[in-house]
Amino acid sequence: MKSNLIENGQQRTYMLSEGFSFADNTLFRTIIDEISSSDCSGVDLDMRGVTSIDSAGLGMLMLAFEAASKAQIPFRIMRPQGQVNKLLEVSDFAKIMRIES
Amino acid sequence: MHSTNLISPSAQLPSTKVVSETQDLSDCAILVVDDSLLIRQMISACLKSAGFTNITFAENGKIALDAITRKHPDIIILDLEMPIMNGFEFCKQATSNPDTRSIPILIQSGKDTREDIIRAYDLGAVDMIRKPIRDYELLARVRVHLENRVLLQKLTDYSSRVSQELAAARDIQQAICPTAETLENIKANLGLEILWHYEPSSELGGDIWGVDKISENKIGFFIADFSGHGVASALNTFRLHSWLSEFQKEFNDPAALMEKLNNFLCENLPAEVYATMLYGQVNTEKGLLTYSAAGTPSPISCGSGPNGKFTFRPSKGLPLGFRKDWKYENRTLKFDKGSRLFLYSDALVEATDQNGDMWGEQNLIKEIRSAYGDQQCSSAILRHVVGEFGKRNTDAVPDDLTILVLTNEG
Repeated sequence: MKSNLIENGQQRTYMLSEGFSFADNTLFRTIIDEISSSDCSGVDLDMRGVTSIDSAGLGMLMLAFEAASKAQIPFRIMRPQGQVNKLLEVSDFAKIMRIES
Repeated sequence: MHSTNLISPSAQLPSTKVVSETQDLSDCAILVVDDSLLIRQMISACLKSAGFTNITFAENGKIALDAITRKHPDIIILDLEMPIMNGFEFCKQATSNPDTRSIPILIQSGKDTREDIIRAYDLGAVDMIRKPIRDYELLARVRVHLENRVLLQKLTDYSSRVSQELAAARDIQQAICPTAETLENIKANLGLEILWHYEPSSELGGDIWGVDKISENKIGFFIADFSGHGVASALNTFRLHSWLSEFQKEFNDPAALMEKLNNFLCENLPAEVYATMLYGQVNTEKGLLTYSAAGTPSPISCGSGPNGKFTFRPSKGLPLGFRKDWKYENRTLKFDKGSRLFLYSDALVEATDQNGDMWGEQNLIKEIRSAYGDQQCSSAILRHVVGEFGKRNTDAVPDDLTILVLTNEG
């Protein structure tokens, strides 16, 4: 997976791309740490470029959401596509976090 | 070699120790290969003075080759210019044999032209010292290569042990799945045929399935997949199995079982670890199947009769272990004689072809319908689907594959 951070004022958007799997554990934990220590007004994970996600990736999304909730930062998953969208749907994540298509 | 190339002692330097806090190298086997008795004796004296005790000798490459084939030394100190078989030929033969390839060869020679040095390294030598040999240099280099060899051997032993333990764990994981006898009893007493296929990934995985008779006319079944791979996922499958063994029979309601299990896993799993799972019960007296799902791939069912057609069923639900006190839903299907249910782990639809494209649910159901249409039997479906999966995974399977096919045979 690749990640590109775009900061727009106090809003942080992580543009994620390629496959999101257990192998991205270290990279994504850095993102989670950044979210935890941030004083931003909101975090978006833009997933339009993510081509696939595995079970470990789904677990890390939940960790990111938990980190943002703990820091009281609004959190959104944006534009998931294909298999990623399907997995988020079947896992009922929309009942826990904001997912915008 | 000629007696002018002797060991030059360096009294001002301390001897290189062969016993450190972490390693005792004194018993490492050292083979000294040189046609000069004097050089062999000098090298031996140098090594012994540092505490090495296991030293053997050979007068030329051929004798040395025979010796290392019989018993592998930990290091070879090799001269290049010898009669019968010189050091270059010895290196070539020793390193072309898989059994002796990893033994470090330390060249000691007066041949020190650019071509000689390159040739020696090309043929597999790991290091080279020039004559006259300085005792501290010889000992330091011998020690470095022996330390590397001992560490490498420890790593290899450890890796081998871990592989054996993982294989044993995989066997245990498969052993907790239902036995053929259990499945035969269910078929004989309730008329339910349960076919299954399990294909472990290259490492330990988090898939598990099970089936158990709950009462005279009811069975419970499940398929689950813990997130991630490896030992932790495998241990979680044991945790799930043990919980179900203890509590499954208390529940007539699959959703209620999932809710209690979810709370148990929430209390016992780390935050990012979870399980997708489908748990169901078949009541053969009523011809009904009730299931509750937590984010598994969509089950595929087929009703009885000539109009029966394989169709996806919903499996939406938050995976277990994420949120305590989460509510799960029951879904009920008619499951009379001739009905079928096809369950599978995500590895099946996520299998990729040479272009990296996933097989996907639509291709799966197409193949199931096609296989069923030809022969109208569950085993044909299972065989066909496993075959299609195999075409996409010619190397190691990246994730566990579990498939269950339940058929009410009446």
